[in-house]
Amino acid sequence: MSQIKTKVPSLTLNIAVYAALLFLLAVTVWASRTDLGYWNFVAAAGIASLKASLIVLFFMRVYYAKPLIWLASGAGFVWLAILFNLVVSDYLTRSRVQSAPVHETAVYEVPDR
Amino acid sequence: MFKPASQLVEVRADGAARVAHQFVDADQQHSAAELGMWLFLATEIMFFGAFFLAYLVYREWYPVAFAMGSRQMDVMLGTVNTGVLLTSSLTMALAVRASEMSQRRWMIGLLVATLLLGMVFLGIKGLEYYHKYAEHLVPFAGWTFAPAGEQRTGMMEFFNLYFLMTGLHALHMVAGLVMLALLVIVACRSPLRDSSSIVVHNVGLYWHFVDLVWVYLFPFFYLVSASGSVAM
Amino acid sequence: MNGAVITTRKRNYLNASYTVRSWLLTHDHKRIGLLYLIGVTFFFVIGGLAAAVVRLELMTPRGDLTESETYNKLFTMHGITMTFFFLIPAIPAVLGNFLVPLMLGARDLAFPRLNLLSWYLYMLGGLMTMWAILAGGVDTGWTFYTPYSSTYSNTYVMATAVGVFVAGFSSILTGLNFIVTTHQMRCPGLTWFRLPLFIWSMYAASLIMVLATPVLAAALLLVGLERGLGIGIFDPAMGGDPLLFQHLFWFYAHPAVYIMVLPAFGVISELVACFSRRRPFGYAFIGYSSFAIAILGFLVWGHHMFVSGQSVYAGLIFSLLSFLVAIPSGIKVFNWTATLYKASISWETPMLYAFGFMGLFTMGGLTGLFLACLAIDVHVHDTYFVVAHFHYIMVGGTVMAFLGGIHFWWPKMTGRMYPESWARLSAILIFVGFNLTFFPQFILGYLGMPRRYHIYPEEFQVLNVMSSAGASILGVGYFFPLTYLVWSMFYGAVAPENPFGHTGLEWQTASPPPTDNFEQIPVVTQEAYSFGPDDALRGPSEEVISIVQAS
Repeated sequence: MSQIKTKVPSLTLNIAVYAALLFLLAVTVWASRTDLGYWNFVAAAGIASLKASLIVLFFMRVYYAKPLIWLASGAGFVWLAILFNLVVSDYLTRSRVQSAPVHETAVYEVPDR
Repeated sequence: MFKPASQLVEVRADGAARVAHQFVDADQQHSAAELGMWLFLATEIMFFGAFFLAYLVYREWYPVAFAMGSRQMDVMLGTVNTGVLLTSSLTMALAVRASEMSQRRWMIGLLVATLLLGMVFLGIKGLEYYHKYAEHLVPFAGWTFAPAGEQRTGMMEFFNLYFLMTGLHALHMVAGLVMLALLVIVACRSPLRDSSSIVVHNVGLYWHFVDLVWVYLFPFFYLVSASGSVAM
Repeated sequence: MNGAVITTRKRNYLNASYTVRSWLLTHDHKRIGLLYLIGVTFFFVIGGLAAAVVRLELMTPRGDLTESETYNKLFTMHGITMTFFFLIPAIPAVLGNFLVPLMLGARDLAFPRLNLLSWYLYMLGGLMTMWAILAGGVDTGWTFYTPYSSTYSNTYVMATAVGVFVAGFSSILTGLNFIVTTHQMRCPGLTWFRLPLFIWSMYAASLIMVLATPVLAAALLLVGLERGLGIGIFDPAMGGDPLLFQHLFWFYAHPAVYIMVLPAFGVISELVACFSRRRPFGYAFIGYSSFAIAILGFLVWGHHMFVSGQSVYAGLIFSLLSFLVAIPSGIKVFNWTATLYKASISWETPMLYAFGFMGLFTMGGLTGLFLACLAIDVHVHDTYFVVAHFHYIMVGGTVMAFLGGIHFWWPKMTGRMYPESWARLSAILIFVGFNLTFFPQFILGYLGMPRRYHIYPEEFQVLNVMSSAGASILGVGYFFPLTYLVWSMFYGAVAPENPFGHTGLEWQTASPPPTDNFEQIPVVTQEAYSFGPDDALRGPSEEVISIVQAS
């Protein structure tokens, strides 16, 4: 019978990750109360991603896992990045086309008869 | 370099080894189950991802309305709820650890704690939904939607997505709670087997994933622009 | 046959038990494969009948057989049934289910119960959709474009969308099962570069099933919510963007084309190798190109939206990326052709289908390049040119490969041989009928006949009649295998273990295989496709010998 050996994160590490998550929660609420303009969104998304990485790496044990699990856990995020990038490339460049000087060139001076 | 502390634990393999007929040994079964769960989570990431994409698109279209919408949110309750969910993730992680170290009582206790925290989360979420309902901020067909004026359409889009995404998240929570309850019942009735830890581990993965979704939902809906100017 | 003969027959997965229960609750991947074969055939017949009525209506320029509304429902029914309930599950769920564990030397898939669940989900989704069609039909086209589907259509959109949504889960479960099985359950010695090419392509298709299908589920859920609850996600009248639906839909539906065609590539690789008695030229490149297609396939969906109001800049990117798909597809076609070069080719039925596939897929792929070109697409978008193009890929590609594969593995599945001459005749009929049906549509489309209309100008009639005539030949061609394959299950010659002399683990076990596939788990010590000197049926062909002597 085969023994299954697993690397298990220690209790201290679990608590430390939890503390870091709560700290980041406090930081993100604080950051949202400071006016950073456009960077508010970047900060919120960045901190959320940091928290997510902590959860994935330590609570979900990817840090200790085989390369195959790294791939499987990363695949979803990579493919999501494809979806986001290409769709956003449409939305961010669409207005440039639609607001191109179509209307201006359409204004003709109609000669009086 | 930072080296996270860890310890090597030998998962006990006494008790009846339950290896399904298609597998050669318990090791293969264990790896297959874990990989299968991660692939399932990949589909979940894509599923939620589509809604996050809709969120991004409409936030780009209606930046002011989204900021106004987020100011209707109860940041206090949201923060507390995030804390509750993060705590439940800790208890879940510790429950998985206990199952691997064959500490059955600890495992059951921690699973029950996770279950209770999950229910607290849903309770608070329900309270928030009720508040929104009372404030006429539920933009479904035919219901009066309170905010009027220029930003009405954008705010409706905000609340559509808010109810949709947090609702789907809550449904996933309910599924997770059912799985936890089943685990607790089975663990109370029978001793741990060597295949138990992978089941607990997989339920744990699912639970952490649900937590992960909320980690993004919270800032995206509650903290869009809690103060200051709207700049997008 | 007397009793003694029956008792000496070896136990296999078919005669292990005969009860209905033992079929409906089976965990055996081979039985589930056969269950899928029944389901897939049923939906193919339904979708085919709809297509027959469509072609009949298009015989005349006037709308004299059906009303416009009925016509809309007919082509929608044809599209939905054929894509979601035939093409997507055809090769993966039938041949893949049957062959993946056998080719890997495993006893079953990693999750047999999920596999059975996936069949039930598929049937549930399919029957729900059939109910919607019987109850009154759907007229949105298979693409469910918003806001028509979510707001304006007065047909059974919800029931159909739910059916497709449910069937999507079955596809996800199948893909997940294949990926886990390929990673974890290869028998000793079976390294990645010893895998049959069918496994490589099934793996690549499974990746798409797992990663793309959830996005379709999300898109359909949003359509359902918009329709059912009146919330505005895609309706421009309520602040939404219909193009967002198209992005989500095509993020699934374009890669879905590769779910249909990648497994077909796998089948063709096996057929070409077997009937030219050769290891495929550039084995690794064929394998890699499957992955390249799977990944590039996710980057090109915007070419369905060139004229929809999508940003022209995004269109440029999508156009460029679409051209890139031609590279791995070209690698495959060239490598198959190179495999055939100076090989000792034999002309059994499966190989006829493989030849048909190579020609038709190449035409379908090349016309795809026309459509990927922004300027040409403006001219031929939504015309019969597009219809002809994707039928060359899907019918000329996937259906050809499916039939070729079914014939090739039929002896393994049933333990009986198919009748060779009937099979050759129908393969030729299908090839002729196919070309007569769809080639005129390229011309029709180029001349400007739009798709999805049943009334058209007089000058298009000749080509349309040619197309309809071809469809009737195609119909006869499909009818033959349906009958003689069923006949052969009872009266066909008993098949040996390895009737075609192919390599691969599935041929090392009995025909039909025992429930656990192998008496013992096999150990692989050779590369895939190592045809020994004895395997080369006729040795080098006469022509090669004469050339050698001449020099």
